Parts: sequence; C-alpha cells; structure tokens
Amino acid sequence: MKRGKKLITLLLATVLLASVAFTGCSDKGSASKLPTLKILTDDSDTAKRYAQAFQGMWQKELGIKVEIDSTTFKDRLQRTQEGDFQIVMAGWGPDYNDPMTFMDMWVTDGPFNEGGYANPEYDELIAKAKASPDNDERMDLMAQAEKILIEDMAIGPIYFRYRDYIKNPKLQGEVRRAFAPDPDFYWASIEDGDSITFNIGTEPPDMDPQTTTDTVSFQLLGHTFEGLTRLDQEGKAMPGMAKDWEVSDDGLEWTFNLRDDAKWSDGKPVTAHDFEYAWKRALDPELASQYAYILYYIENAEEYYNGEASVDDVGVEAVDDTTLKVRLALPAPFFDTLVAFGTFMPLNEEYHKSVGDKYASEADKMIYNGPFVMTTWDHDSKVVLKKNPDYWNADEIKLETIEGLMIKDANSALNEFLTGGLDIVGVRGDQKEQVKKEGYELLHYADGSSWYFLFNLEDEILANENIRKALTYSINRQAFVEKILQDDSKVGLGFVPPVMPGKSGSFREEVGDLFQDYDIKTAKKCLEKGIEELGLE
Amino acid sequence: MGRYIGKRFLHSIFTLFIIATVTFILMNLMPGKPFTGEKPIPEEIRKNMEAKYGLDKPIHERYVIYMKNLLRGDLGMSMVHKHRSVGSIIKERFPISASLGLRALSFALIAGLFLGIIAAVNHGKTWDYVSMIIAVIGVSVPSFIIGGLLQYFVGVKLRLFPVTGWESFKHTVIPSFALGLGTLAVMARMMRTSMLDVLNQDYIKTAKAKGLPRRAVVWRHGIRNAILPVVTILGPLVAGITTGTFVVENIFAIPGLGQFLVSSVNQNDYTLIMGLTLFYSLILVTMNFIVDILYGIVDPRITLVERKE
Repeated sequence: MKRGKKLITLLLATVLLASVAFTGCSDKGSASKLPTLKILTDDSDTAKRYAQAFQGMWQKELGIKVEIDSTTFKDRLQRTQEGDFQIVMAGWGPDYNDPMTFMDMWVTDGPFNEGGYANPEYDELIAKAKASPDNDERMDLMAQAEKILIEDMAIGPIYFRYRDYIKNPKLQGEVRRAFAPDPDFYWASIEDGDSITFNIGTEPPDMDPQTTTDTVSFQLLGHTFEGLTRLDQEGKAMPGMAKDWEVSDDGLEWTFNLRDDAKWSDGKPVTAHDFEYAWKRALDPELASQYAYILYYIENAEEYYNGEASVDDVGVEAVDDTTLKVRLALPAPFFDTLVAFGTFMPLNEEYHKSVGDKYASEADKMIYNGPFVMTTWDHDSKVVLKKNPDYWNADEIKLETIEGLMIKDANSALNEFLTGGLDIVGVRGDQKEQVKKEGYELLHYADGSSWYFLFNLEDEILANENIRKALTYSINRQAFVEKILQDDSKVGLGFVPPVMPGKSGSFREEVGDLFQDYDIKTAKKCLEKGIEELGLE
Repeated sequence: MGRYIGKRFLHSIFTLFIIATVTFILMNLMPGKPFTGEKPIPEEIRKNMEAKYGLDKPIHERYVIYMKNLLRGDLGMSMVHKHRSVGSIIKERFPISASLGLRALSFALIAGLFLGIIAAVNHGKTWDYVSMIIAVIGVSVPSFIIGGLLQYFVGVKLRLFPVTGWESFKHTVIPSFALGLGTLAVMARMMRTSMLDVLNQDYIKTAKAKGLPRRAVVWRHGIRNAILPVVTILGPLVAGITTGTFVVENIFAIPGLGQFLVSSVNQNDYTLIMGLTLFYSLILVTMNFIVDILYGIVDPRITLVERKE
C-alpha cells in the first residue's frame, strides 16, 4: 500500500512537471558542478509529496540534484533547531495581529532564527520599528526590513496558507481567522435552535491559560475566558474585561480600566489583581511556561524569567480592583490585541490556591469569566460549553450550547458532518470533489501562516546568496498550489502574509510582491554566478 | 501447581524489568525531545522545562529515579498532557479499548471457529470455498479500509449506525466488526487447517468405525483436539486487541488507549511510552500465563507440574 502511494505521488510530481511550460534548455553543464543538495522533510506522505515536487522542479529547471532526507516529525524539528540541515520547508503562524510577529524572527541570534541569518542593517530596522510608537513609521521600517530579508534571500517564500471548510447553512456569524479562537462563535447563531457541534480534533493537552501552547486549548479558552480585550470580527481589539484603556504618548504606559460588573463563574468579581497574578505566574521561571516570551514586551518580564530581576520589578501592577497599569519595555501599538491572547487570561489567586496542582485538569477544576463555561470535559471524547449567564455581554451571545467533538481523522469528521453530527468542518484538498458533489458551498479563510524554504546559512553551499536565489526563483508556485496543495492557498512572493495589517489595509498589499514567481531566466543567471563564486567551475 | 505459579511469577517480574530497561534506553535513543515543538522554544525556557521534568539529569540518574518511582507504583505525569498522570490515562482509557477488543474478539472467535469448522467438515465443497473467501477478504483487506467503507456506506448512506463516538450499543457495532474481521479470518483459517489435520487422524477413523454419530465425532473428538493451536494464539491476541488499536479507534473517534500508543512515541512523551509499554507487557505476560493454565484444561496430557521421579 505504502509503495503504491509513493508511486502515485511520484507520478503526480511528474505530471506536475510535464504540465509546467517548458522554457528552453537549462544549463545542466554548470548545475552538475553543484554537489547534491538535501531537503529535510518529515516522513508524512504530504510532506514527502511537497519535497518531491520541489525536487522535480529544481532538477528540471536548473538541473540541480536534490536528495530528500526524510525523518520523523520530532527529529525534523530537532534537526532544524540544531542547524543540522541544508534546506527545509517551514511555516510560521502569527501570535498576534501585527507583522512584527513575523518580522522579528530573523534578527541576529533570535530564538526563532534557525537559518542563522545575520544582517546588522536588518537588525537595526527591526529595533527601530520596535522602538517606534508611530504606526506608519513602524510599517515603513518593517517593509524595508522585509525587502532586505528577501534581497538577501535569507528565506525563500513559497505560499500563504488558506483553508477550506463547509458548514450547515443554518449556522451564521461564525468568524474564521488566523489566531485563536478559530472558529470564533461569539457572534454565531443557528436557525431554529441554539446549540451547535463542531470538531476540535483532539483532546486539549493543557487548558491552563498560562502554560498552554496549542490551538485546541486556545480555541476553548477563547470561548470560556476573556482577557482585558478580545478580538472583534476584523481582528481588532474590542473591550473585554477592560471597558476602556489609555496609552501614554511614548506608547510605554498602558492603563486598563476594568468593568466593575465582571464576574468569575463562581460569583466572585474579576479584578485587576487577577491579571497581575496570572501574568506574573506566566513569567515565573518555576512554571516554565513555553509562551512566557509573549509577555516579554512588558518591562523586566524577560529579566524576571531569566532570574535577573525580581517579580516586583515586572511592569504590571493592579492599582486598585479596576485599574491595571502596565509598563512596557518597548512601545507596542498592538499591545491591546496582544492582551487578548490566551497567555494573558486572568486567574484568581484565591481560587488557584484552593485547587492547587489540579487547576485546569477537569471542567470543574477551573473558573471561567468568558461568554461560555465548560460544563463537560469528557477526556479524549468531547467537551460541552454552555452560555455563561453572568457574562457582562450575555445579551449578545445567541448560542446556548457549543459541543466540541474530538475526531482526529479528517474523513471521519466529514462523514460525521454529512450525517448532521457536526455543523462546521474543515475540508482537505482531496475531499473537495466529494463535498461539491454533496452540494455544499466551499468556504475559505486565511489561517495566517506563511510557508517558505528555510536555508541553513551556515552551510558551505547555501551560504551563497545566488544559490539560494536560484532555488527560490525557479519554483513554480502557481503550479504547486494548484496541483499539489489543491487548496486556496496563495502564492507567496514575500514573507508577511496578506492577513497582517499594514498602515491602513493589508501589509502585503501595501508593500507588494518582492520578486517574480517562476523566474527561470534570473534563476539560471543566479545559479551560474553562484557556482562561479563558490569556485566550482 | 503452587510452585509453578510462583516460578512463573518471578519469571514475569524479571521479564517486565528487562522490558522496562530496554524501553527506557531505546526511548532515549529515539530522535527528538519531548519539548521540541513547531515553534522553537527560546533556550532558557527549554532549560527550565527540562529541569522541571528532570530531563536535565544524565540518563542513568533518570533511570534510577524512574525505577524507584515504578516500585512505588508511580508511573509519573505525562509530558504532553500536562495535567494527567500516566496511571489515570491508562485507568480511564483501558476499559474502553478492552470493551471494544472483547466485543471484536467474541465476534471473531465465534464466527471464525464456526467458519473454520464448517470449512473443514465440508472440505472441498461449496461451504469450504465460501468460508475461505470470507477469510481471505478478512486477512487481506486492512481494517482502515473495511472501517472507512462501512462508516461511509452503513453510517452515512444508510444511516443505520452512528459514524463516530462511543456512547451506546449502536456505536459499538461497526467498530467491533471492523476490528474483529481480521482476527476472524485468522481464526477460521487456523481452525480449518487444524481441524482437517485432526479429522485425518486414526482415532477419528476409529470413532467413525465404532459407529459414533457424526456430530459426536466432530464435537467430542474433532474440535476438542483441533482447538489447541487456537488457544495458543489467544493469549497474545487478547493482549493485543484489548490494549487499544490505533486504526479503528482513530477512524471511529473512540476514546481508547490506541491513540496514545502512537502519539506518545511521536511526541516523545517518555513517561507515557514507559507506562503504556509496561502495561501492555503486563497484560501480555498475564494472558500467556492464563493460556498455559488453559492448556491443561483443554488437553489433560499437558501437565504444568514437573513430575518428580
């Protein structure tokens, strides 16, 4: 069976190549001087299929031989992080609604800079953008930085991922977006009823807001908790536990005014102290929270986590029950959307101490302050969320019950949808035909991720910019998206995806494409130059 | 008998100890680390996390700590499911896998033995071919295909049974069938071969010559002797089928142990890998032990106690 699949994928890759317009003789003479390169991939069928497509394109267009080095998923991540690779396809999804969540990845020695890119000019632009409280100026600086990133071809953009889904036509008002909670049922309603079922896919591995890292948990937390703000339909900050907030002129001091009628599900009021306690807890080195870094915008947060400052130095303070003052280390104009992120959810100290280690282990070992409360958590099977009658904006919440099933297999989930067991379900590329036949309208949304070749800049061959350019320019993205991904993903000719905001609209649209897709002519020139520079002639 | 059981018990403990040690070593040789995630973790955060789970210590120290905890019956906390202990995962999930497994096994045993016997008794005739065609289908079509097809046609198209989940009796029918079919085929073929072998023995001829009715020949002399090989594989089979099967549980979204057998390895969830391996081994060792005892009952010629001269 496996063999058969391999053969089919190989055939697919060949068909893809045949369908790509032939652009004259490639200079195989010079390419053969390049040693065989390796593309690292995990051993899933999809990942291998992608790698085979790229392998075919490079071989065909440039005569470059690329070997597929496939390993387990964990090992691929590990080897990428350790720099033991040449080329790997990687993706990045946004943590918050600002291009900075992408752009600060590539600063010299940054924790996520796995390719080893180092350009002082780039670093300076990012530092300037981070220090600027002016949005237009920040966007200009980031646009310049992105240009440099692509000119240096530190990474080779491929595509921006868009996903397909179908839903029960009676379900209205669900919001799909690039961040948790996705889908967001805050504004959702269903004709002739008030309860819906959707697929969360797996057991939420960790429902503790301060330690969790996965999308399933964040999805559920987004419905059962509320931060100082929450994201509206457009991804902008709207009042949540805070009814309003002010920022100082330098963008460093934020004052959040909490509403005085907000309650926990056990009846206690939600106060500014609950936020101070939760945030400091997230930064506690003892807790070892993986997402602690998202709080690093706060003054002395990083220092406290690293043991260089005390907890009292951290720039968050509950002035009284309804006033939370936050001092930032750098101005972050998007801080109001950042505090909607799961890690920033409040926690009542008294309650937390009363349940101790059991916190967030069961539905009744948590208290909630969001539009819904979790009433059932049937491990590995399902969760049930019920409307929270004490929620401050309860009048606007139309659903009474949201049930989340844990169906891992995509075909089983689709079958469950077809029998009416789910009201909304994701559709994979290979399921599109069936779904259309069943008469459902395919809907699309951007999941916010950007996919690219990560090059190891410390590798002898890939340290050469022209080789990286040749590899990037020679990819036919349009064909890759249409024939291999078979979904609504968009060709990526820059790093920041179109869903990220810019000065007024989309950052990507404002900046434009940074190179041309499938530019064989330039690719060949770059390859020749690269080979010459490497002294391989 | 008592001495035999005592000896077997000590053997079992030793076996489990070896398994625990080998698994511990192999697991640590596996590529990847528990906290390697899709988003790389800043160095200092990773160090803090590893320290929290004791992963910063050298492997021999961790081994000693693990073994000490194991002796106290503490299997530790899962490294991925942060708030769940390995013990509680097994305690919650095993009954569901066991229930599914036993349903599938009962179905496979009854139907499989029946088909095997029918085939052997009607050797070379229509019923033989019918049984063997069913057996060949059962052996050669993997459970994910059977499961997927049944789910779509019986679940989605005919709406006879639910598509996923594990709530009522109705939910158990298709998964048990899909899971049991392969075992059914193995049973049928084994029983047929063994039965044919027995039916050609001289004592069967003797029984027939004595003028015993055919039914008595088949039942009393045939099946009882032919079933021994089936009993032999029953031990490992029960252990395998009741401790969770990834494919069927995955297709029908059944909250059993099966998913953890795979995900724990993929996610380098060390404590869970150890816990599940030991649990599976324990069941396997126990089942083999029970089978040995069953031997003596099915075939009185086999004796468990060494005779003293």
